[in-house]
Formats: sequence, C-alpha cells, structure tokens
Amino acid sequence: MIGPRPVLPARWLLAIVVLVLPADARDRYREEFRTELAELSVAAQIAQASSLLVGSVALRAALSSRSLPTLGPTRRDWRCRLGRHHYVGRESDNPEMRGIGYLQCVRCGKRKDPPSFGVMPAVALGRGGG
Amino acid sequence: MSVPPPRMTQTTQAVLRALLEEPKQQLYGLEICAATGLPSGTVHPILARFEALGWLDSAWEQVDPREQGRPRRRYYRLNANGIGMARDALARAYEARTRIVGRLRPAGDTV
Repeated sequence: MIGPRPVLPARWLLAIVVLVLPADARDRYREEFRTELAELSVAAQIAQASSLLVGSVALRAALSSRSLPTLGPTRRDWRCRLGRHHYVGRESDNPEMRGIGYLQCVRCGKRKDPPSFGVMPAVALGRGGG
Repeated sequence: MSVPPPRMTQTTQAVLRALLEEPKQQLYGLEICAATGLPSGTVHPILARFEALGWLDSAWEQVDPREQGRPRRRYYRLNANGIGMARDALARAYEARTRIVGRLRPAGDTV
C-alpha cells in the first residue's frame, strides 16, 4: 500500500468490516476504506473504523440487494415469517381445475397447494354454504 | 430485476443533497462525510444503495499512487438518470414533510 498505513487497531476493525461484506465486494471496499483511514489522524482512524463496523451490516444488505431479483414486496410481514399467514380462498384459473381453488396469503402471496388441504370448501370461495 | 428505492430518511436526504450540490463534481467518501456531517458507516450503505439503483456511478481515481504519495480514492457522482431521480425524491420527501407539519399545526394557526 502506498502512503501511510492505518494504525493497527483500525486495521483490525477494518478486517472485521471487510469479512462482513459479500465476497465479491471485499477487495474494493478494503482498498477504499484503507484509503480513507490513511488520510485521518490516529484517533479519527479508530473512530472511522468503528463507524464502518457499525454500518457494515447495512452495507452488506445494500450490496446484497444488487443481485437479488425482486418480483414483488421485498419485506415479508413478521407474521408471515412466523408462519401465521392470512389465507383467503382463490379460484384457480386453470380450466382443468374449475371448482377447485387454493388458499393464498394476502400479505406475502404464499400459496397452499390444493393436495395439502383437500378440496376447497365452497364457503371459502364465497359460494355460500351451510 | 429491480432494487427497491431507499427510504428517504434524513441521512439519505443529506447524502443526496451533498451529491446534488454540484452534480458534475465527483466526491469521495470522506468529502461526503464532511459535507453531510455523517459518519462513514452511515454514508457508505447509502452510497451502495444508490449505486445498486443505478443513480450513482463510482470509479477509482486515475492517478499514480506513487506520484501522489497516497492510495487512490474511490469517487462518486450522480449520473444523468440519478440527478433527476434524486431531485424528484427530495421534492417528494419535502412535500411529505410539509404535509405532515401542516396536519400537526393547530387549526387557525397561520404562523
């Protein structure tokens, strides 16, 4: 590395920061952050490295979002994460499945396959009953 | 494939304003931190999100580190698309803030 090296504690902190990041981004950010640290005083280097460590998880999330395709809502409701979906009845648009619907969560879109719960009751499809 | 736009928090808006101050000028991390008063750990995730959105371009400084006596810097600059998007986003954030403040103001208060 050309120029002054950051102090050892700052380099240690930086090493942890870089480990948190996605593998394909490590080289770039290692060099970028070392450059920033090299331009600071000793106390500022440690503060800077600490700040980078605190923000490393957010940085990882931002870098990871580059490669993830998003086809719909990106934040899954906490209730869906716990398996507490809010299913409503849907009618299948497959002509061969006429009359047999499925359940779909209105929050995350997860579907329940028909074979797992059997034939859709008429009530769930709003066709009355009882 | 799309990246969801970032929430327009105060820190995000501060970074955008710093980048829009002189849109044609490129800034590196420490300059943006100094302009916004924000720590590096806050600024870099925001910059990464804007890069992922395609609003921001970044590139290594084209210098010889040996001649400069220091390592090369990573510079950031809003691209043509990003300048328009950033201005729109800031305008929407300002409108939303103005709307909220207006609702909080007591009825009949004109000050």
